[in-house]
Amino acid sequence: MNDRTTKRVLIIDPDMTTLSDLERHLRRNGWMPRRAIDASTGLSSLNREKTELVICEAELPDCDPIALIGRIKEANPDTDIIVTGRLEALDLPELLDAGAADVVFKPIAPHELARSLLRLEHNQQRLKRLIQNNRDLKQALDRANATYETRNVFLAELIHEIRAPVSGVIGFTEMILDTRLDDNQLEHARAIKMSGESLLSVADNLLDFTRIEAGELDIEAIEFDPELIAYDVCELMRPRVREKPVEILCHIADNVPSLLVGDPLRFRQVLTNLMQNATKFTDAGEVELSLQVAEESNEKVCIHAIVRDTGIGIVPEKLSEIFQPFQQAGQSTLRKYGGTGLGLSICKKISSLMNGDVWAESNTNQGSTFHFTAWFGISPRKSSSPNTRGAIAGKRILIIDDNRASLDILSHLLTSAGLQTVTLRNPEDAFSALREGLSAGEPFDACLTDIQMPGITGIDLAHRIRASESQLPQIPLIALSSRTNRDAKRCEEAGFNGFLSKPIRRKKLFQMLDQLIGNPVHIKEQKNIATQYSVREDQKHSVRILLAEDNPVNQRITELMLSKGGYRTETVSNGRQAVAVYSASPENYDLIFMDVQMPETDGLEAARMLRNRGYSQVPIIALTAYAGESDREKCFAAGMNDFITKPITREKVYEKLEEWIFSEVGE
Amino acid sequence: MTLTEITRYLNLDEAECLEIVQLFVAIGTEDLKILKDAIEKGDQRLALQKGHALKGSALNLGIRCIADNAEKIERLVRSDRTGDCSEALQQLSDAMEHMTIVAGVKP
Repeated sequence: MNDRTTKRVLIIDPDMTTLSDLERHLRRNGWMPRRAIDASTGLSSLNREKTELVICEAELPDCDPIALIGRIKEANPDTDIIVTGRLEALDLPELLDAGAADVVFKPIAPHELARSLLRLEHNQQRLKRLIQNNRDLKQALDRANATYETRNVFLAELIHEIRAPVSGVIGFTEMILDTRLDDNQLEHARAIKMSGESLLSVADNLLDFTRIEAGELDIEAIEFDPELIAYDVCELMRPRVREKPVEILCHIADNVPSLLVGDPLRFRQVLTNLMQNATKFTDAGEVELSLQVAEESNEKVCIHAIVRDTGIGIVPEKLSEIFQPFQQAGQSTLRKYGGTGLGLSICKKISSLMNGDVWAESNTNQGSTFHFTAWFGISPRKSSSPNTRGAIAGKRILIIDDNRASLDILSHLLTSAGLQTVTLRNPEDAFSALREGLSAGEPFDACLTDIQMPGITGIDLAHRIRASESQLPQIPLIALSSRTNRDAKRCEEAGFNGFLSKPIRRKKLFQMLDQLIGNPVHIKEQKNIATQYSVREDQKHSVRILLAEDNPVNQRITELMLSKGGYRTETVSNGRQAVAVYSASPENYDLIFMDVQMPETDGLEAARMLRNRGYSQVPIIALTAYAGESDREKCFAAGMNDFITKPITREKVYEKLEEWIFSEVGE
Repeated sequence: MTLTEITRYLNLDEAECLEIVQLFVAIGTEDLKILKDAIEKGDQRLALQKGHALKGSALNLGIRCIADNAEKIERLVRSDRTGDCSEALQQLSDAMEHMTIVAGVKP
């Protein structure tokens, strides 16, 4: 209620004496009273003149009090209502619930009414203070939000400022590492690079964290191959366990779709983070990444990634804390292993943006298992990967590995592709198994063996097989190594025909088996050991690329980069020529690199023309100097599959070829 | 920017890089001349085309000073501020002059 002198009050009461008494009392207290003898007259009066207070009798002849309160409040929400009446006629809780501010019993004692009016006034003042407080709070909140935004922007800029010189330090250190250095210099340069990378990863985590806090982390929806990402992440982990007896394993369940629609970058980020933690906290044993399908509907699939390690584990009471920002399993962990304690909280946020979750199961010294679920779209494009491999289906393979999990994964890979397998954990038994196969008329077609085993190593085994006096020396042998290609030479000398790095990628394994036992002539012609790289090289030479680029400098750079990579390229100078050359013999080209800005017919128009002519399969990769979102959208709208922003570097070109050629050819 | 730096940037042989730099200088010098004329005559379309071409090829060679100035000119031309291009044009000319030395076209 406002200033007392200006306040208006309407009294609705059929009793004239009550009306007069109340009017007199209220007037004395500075009110301007009006009167009505029933509800309808009262409501009409309210419609005509704004009124701060209504005092109404509960037992009116034309309206019950609850309905009347409702009608008054509907048209005048700020008007206070005091209901008067006989004690037995008033249902106090019901009236207050309906919106009455107070109730005064009849006969009305003047001090009761005065107290009721005072209460109303206090309530009004409290409300006023509350409104003012809310206003102040809102202003404070706005100021805090503005400061918070400014802080976030400042932090993001600061991190960018840190990233640029640190990237420079890493880049130049890499160049130094390429030069001739003595052992001390090498060690110091490596330390600089590792420190730089560590600082860069802290900066990246902070940047992601500020983006998430600001709600700026967008989740993309593009097609990607989850298997490829899982293996890439495992590959990335190998240098981290180089000095430790730790095996990296990767298992992809058969029902995981080959193409998902989602954010590959963020998916990879979470897997990388979980795997980095696992390798960091595991000194011996194994770290396994597996992908499974948790749930599936017609258009969506929930992928469940599990990262299991045999590391130091986490005490159960710390399990929920580790997902909080800036938290680790303990101060001693932080001192020993370092880190910002942001990685897992970022994973948690990302998983929640993907409608999934991240959680962990662990116990001290019993290893940990981290779970990550996320929902993805299922690509309408079907994988060309067959379940059974024609040329090698039915072949008998002997697999030897002392690691149970690794053996199971390999055996599963091969049997699900239609091959027969026999698995052995003890290499001592290999020789007799091979002989028994021969004498039973069921010889093995190939033997896959781990080369780092206790007792007889894979190398020893290969020497013995090659030196034996039976048909055994003919069997194709494939070495499996947790180490890098440094072992390939030793394996070649021991008589191996193929060399694969662990974790074994399904595609690479099948490519090698296709090459070694799919074509019996091939192994006789083979001079050097087949590695995943040599198999890839063979594939590269069969790939043909059409390059549409008008600038002779850019033409030459791209041609040289491609030829260095072993690819065959044909170059045209504008979009019109690209359409003509491709249309004349589409079977000759596996991919088109298309500059966007070209004379006559630009790249966008050329892409549209090719798609309109029905050439929907060939990947068209835009080459563009513009990196904006709208430029990307223009490329996609024109029917292009992907783009490279200039400057064009070998890494970018090869990455796209890997993605668009080998993920297809390799299937 | 030296030939060694470009070689390192492109990760190609030095002879191949020299060939590319010479090609860049030959085409870039001509493009720069056309760009200057186009700006002088107010031919916005041609200026944009040549500025963009210079930017793209310089970016690919890692020659930032040329790429940045060409981009600046692109921006100025696009916002009808061709009158403000002289400083960037001068820097482009200086950088291109330097590249002729790198390419061995000038001693």
